Amino acid sequence: MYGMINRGLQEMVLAHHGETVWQSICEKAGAKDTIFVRMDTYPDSLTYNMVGAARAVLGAPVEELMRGFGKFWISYASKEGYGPLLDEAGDTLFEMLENLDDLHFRLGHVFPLYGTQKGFDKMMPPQFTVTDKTANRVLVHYRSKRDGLAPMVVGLIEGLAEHCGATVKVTQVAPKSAGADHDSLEVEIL
Amino acid sequence: MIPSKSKSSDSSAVHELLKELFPFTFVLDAAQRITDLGPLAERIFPTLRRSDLLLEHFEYRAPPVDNEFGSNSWYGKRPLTMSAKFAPQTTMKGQSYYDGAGSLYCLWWPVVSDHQALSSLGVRLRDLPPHNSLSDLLMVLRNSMLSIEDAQMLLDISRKKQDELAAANRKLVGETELVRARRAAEAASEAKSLFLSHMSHELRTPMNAISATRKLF
Repeated sequence: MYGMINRGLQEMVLAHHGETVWQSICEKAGAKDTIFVRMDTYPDSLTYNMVGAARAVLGAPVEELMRGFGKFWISYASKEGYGPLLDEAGDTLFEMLENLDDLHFRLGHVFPLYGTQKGFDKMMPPQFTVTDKTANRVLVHYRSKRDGLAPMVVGLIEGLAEHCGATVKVTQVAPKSAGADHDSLEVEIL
Repeated sequence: MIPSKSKSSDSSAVHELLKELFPFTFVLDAAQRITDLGPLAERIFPTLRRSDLLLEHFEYRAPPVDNEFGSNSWYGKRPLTMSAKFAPQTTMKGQSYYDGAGSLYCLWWPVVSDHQALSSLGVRLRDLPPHNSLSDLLMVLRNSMLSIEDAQMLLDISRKKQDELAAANRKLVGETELVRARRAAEAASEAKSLFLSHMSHELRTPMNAISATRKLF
């Protein structure tokens, strides 16, 4: 994964818990470096280890951490200068959700492929499709080669809603972890 | 089957298509008057009117262009840069094509290096057609900026560490000199004691003999 993901995790922990907790998480995760270069690539296992370490240090369930990180990610990415990309994806939450694939397609073109040079996997963007759209409800189908990230997607959708000035209820209706071939999330604007 | 069109309707369709594909298009006549504008040009330059002379509002920056309409300096493969007189920070870059029938199509884009500059013109990324790579360029430039910021941060950390290391070295050297000085002082003190002890012995022995001899007298 890109260093920016790990840096986002670092920013979230620093914002809510401070430097000492962050150092404990890095130590527990066995991270050699505690400074991440945002455009560089790091093994996925490092990010997963840090999430696991954060669970142990903070005593919070992984799902809750991932959801919180997903929500934080939207404001963090905007702060880092990627806000216009989100705006490009649409004016409303539903428009943005419909254009998420397009957004990831574009990101795939503009992010360097250092990962492949370092022997890591190349960028593996997730896929999103939208069905059953009504005025205030939509079903988002999320497919990814990475497992266990659906709670983060819930947070991402909540963060996107906040970015658009909306409040939503996101429910995992058919989790992949329960045997479905992909994750389905019902998004309802309140 | 695609219906056949007359030449004039073809020309009109191409005209509209160019405006859609290049929404900053300016169409000029032989007097360099604006005869039409692309939708984005119209939106971000609301003071422009059709029939206005282009050079009332813009000036050529590079390369030099002669005013003879249809001359080589106007044609396609050379990029033209224009700046707006009413907003000197607004620069347009692109190419111009003469259609051979009295119209010059100036296919321009604003020159910007970050999203903020584009947004201050009133243009959002989604206003740009998908074939336009400006939004990708802005993303790449943004990524480069992040890399430069990270390089600067790592350099600052490296300098701080070097300073700390140099201070630790200075302290260590100072301590080493102190230890050396103390050892030298201790060695000198020991040498002095040894000397006094030897001298005491060397003096006392003959003095004892002298003292004993003196008693015989």
